[in-house]
Amino acid sequence: MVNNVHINTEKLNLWFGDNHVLKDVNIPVYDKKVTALIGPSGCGKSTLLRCFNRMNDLIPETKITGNVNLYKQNIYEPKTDVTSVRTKVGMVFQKPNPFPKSIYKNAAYGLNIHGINKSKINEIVEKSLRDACLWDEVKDRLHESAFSLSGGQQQRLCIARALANEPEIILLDEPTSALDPQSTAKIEELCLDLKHQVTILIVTHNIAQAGRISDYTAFMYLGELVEFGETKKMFTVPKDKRTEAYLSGVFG
Amino acid sequence: MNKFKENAFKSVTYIASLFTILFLFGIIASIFLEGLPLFNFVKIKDFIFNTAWHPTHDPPDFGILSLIIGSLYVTLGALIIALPLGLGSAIYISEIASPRGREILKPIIELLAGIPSVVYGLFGMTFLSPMMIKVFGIPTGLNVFSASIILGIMVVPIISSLSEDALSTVPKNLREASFALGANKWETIIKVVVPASKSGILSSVMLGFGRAVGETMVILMVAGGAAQIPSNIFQPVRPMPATIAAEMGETVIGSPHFHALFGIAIVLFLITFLSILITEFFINRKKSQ
Amino acid sequence: MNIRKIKAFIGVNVLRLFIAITFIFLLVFLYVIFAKGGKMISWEFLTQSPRRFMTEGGIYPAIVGTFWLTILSIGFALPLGVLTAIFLTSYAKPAWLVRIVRVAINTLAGVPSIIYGLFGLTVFVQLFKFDVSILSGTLTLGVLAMPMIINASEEAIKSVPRDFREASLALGATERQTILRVILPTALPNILTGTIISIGRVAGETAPILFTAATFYTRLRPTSVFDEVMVLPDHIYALMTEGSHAAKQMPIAYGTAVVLLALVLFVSGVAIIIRYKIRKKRKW
Repeated sequence: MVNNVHINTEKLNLWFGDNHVLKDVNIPVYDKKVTALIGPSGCGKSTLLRCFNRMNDLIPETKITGNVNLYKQNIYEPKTDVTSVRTKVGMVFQKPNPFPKSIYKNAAYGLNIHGINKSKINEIVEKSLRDACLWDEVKDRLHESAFSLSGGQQQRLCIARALANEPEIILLDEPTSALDPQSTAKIEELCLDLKHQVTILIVTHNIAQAGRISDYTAFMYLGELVEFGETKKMFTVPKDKRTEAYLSGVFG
Repeated sequence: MNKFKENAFKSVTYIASLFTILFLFGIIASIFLEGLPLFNFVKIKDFIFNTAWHPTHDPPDFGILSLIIGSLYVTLGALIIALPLGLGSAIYISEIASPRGREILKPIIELLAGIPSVVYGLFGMTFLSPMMIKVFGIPTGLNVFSASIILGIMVVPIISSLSEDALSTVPKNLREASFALGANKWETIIKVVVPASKSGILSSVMLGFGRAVGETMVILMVAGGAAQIPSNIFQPVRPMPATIAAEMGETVIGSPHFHALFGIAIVLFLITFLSILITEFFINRKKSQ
Repeated sequence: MNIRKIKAFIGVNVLRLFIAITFIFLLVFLYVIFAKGGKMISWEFLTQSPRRFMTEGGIYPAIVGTFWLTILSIGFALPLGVLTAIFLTSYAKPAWLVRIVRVAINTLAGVPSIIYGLFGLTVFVQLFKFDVSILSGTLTLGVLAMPMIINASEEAIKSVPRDFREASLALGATERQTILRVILPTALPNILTGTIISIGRVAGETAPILFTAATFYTRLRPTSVFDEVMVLPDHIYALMTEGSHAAKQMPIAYGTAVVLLALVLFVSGVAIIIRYKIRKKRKW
């Protein structure tokens, strides 16, 4: 089986002010696979994730060097249209963050923004909600507020909202850390279904979760990418001592 | 196309913001352009340090010291009344009232800030002033004392709501630390909470000062209107804003008297501007802490 | 009882006393105004023009004047204020411009209202030749309302969680789309209630329109923005200081004060209640 690199970083360095947060990170993310980013708190994994759709641009005093290539095209080039990058690379956040609008309007937000016509929107909204395994639960109440949903449902709505843009890649930033075990299980299942359509990059605190759903795992420590490899291999025979220590729960 | 819309919208917000600068510039320019010509007739020193204000005499006297002192007396009096009442209410609302009590008291204070000053003036003129005459046996109830009371009550909501904001931003763990060391509520308030919000309280007082020194209708109606340096608090005065409001309608545009009223506005503006600078200083000091 | 307890007891009760004095004064104030002015209120008082040099008749033209001046000045200041608040919260570059704008806003907020009156007189009445008119008064009051509206809007926009902004941008929305479709709709109820609460002050301002819009006595209703108008606050002042029938004018002044006070307190009171309900209801 041949794995194509979908997006990768080259010598990526990032500073918040004087704080050197990412150090020479080189990581490939393979097409239609689930890649997990793991590591102790503060290791830079969420920051790395936010480099893939340039969300770090929003934080003042951020300095970035190196490349992030989406199909060989560096998204940090000055002429890049950031909005089109963010349309291709969707993101789901740690805390469910639906807009204070109806369920339907949340799912249709990206489409409205890109000026898709009405009939097409209905179709795509339904498909995205189905893909996010939410359709059956909300089809009779599409025009109720998104805040009437449970936390787990809200997170799946956020996933549907991202899917409606028909992205190539979805970035998930600890998407289950605010959820109960049942909702977590649903989202994990969803990831395994979705990887047939999109490339998934997930940051997780939960080592077991990375083991359950990811094909590849990257272990980060103090801003460096310590080890990257197939999840199965890494979990059984980690190459680096630090990876081994983290996986066995010595620190975290 | 999208890029164009982005930039167009962004530009509109920038232009709107520039209007604030334009308006301020317009205000400063208008009072200075109309006020400075006065100094062709009168020396700045005489204008500020002369106590005789007889704009309609021949020759006229344009000394505003008694007006400045009138303003300061009334403003000081207002702060002496407003400070304990405003700060006391703020501490009560923030530290002692139950959550329910706070939910009721806070909006009431906010509502009070909207009471039109002219209605306070009416009250001072027709109710407080006759009462003063009766209680103290003085010839006029329109004086420094009455004006200070009404002005003080007007300033209470300003000092109260801003101090309350400052008090409620004091972190909870500071209070808990004090309680854990065996301090009671009062000791915690006086020794921990109030000192920790000192900057915010001081800036609220400065804002109250600015409001009181510039308030027009109350002092126009209640301060009595005599351009003199008062020898006691039961004498009438003629503070600066009242002079402008009362005389602008009766003066010829372009006359020395007209320019003199704008000259008073310059002095008034500089005093309030100074109070704003001091407020900013306290706020910035709080931020840097 | 030891000395610490006694101190605490006295201290807390002094605070109670202070807040009680404030409220008692205000109750007396409100009682006096409503008791003396309340009996003036009648259908005729609200719907008729003044007669016989202000000694009889109603205050209808002043109510109309205050209504138009307030509405028009908000109409002028609200868009400018909201856009400025967007600049301060969303774009906020370059830093030196933000600093200058902030200094300008804080200074405008502190400028005495009588100076606004002089500004309106020199700029709108004389320079632009709008004369003493609704237009001059509207613009003067609008400038005075700007800092209040900016502060209310900025606070409302800042209370929109950052999550919403990030979520929108992460979906490929532009800054403008994010502001117009997510941030403003979310902040709008708070912008409006905040504006209305501060607008009570605009409706009650007397000094800025003394030389820019107000006239003591007109029986005519304004027909265009270039007409001068009667307004409630200035009408009270005029009744107390001008004219020659003080005894007959004072009850009318009280009646006018009741109308003005009731209007201001009612409108801001409703806004405060709505804001409270919104805060209770919101889930973020």
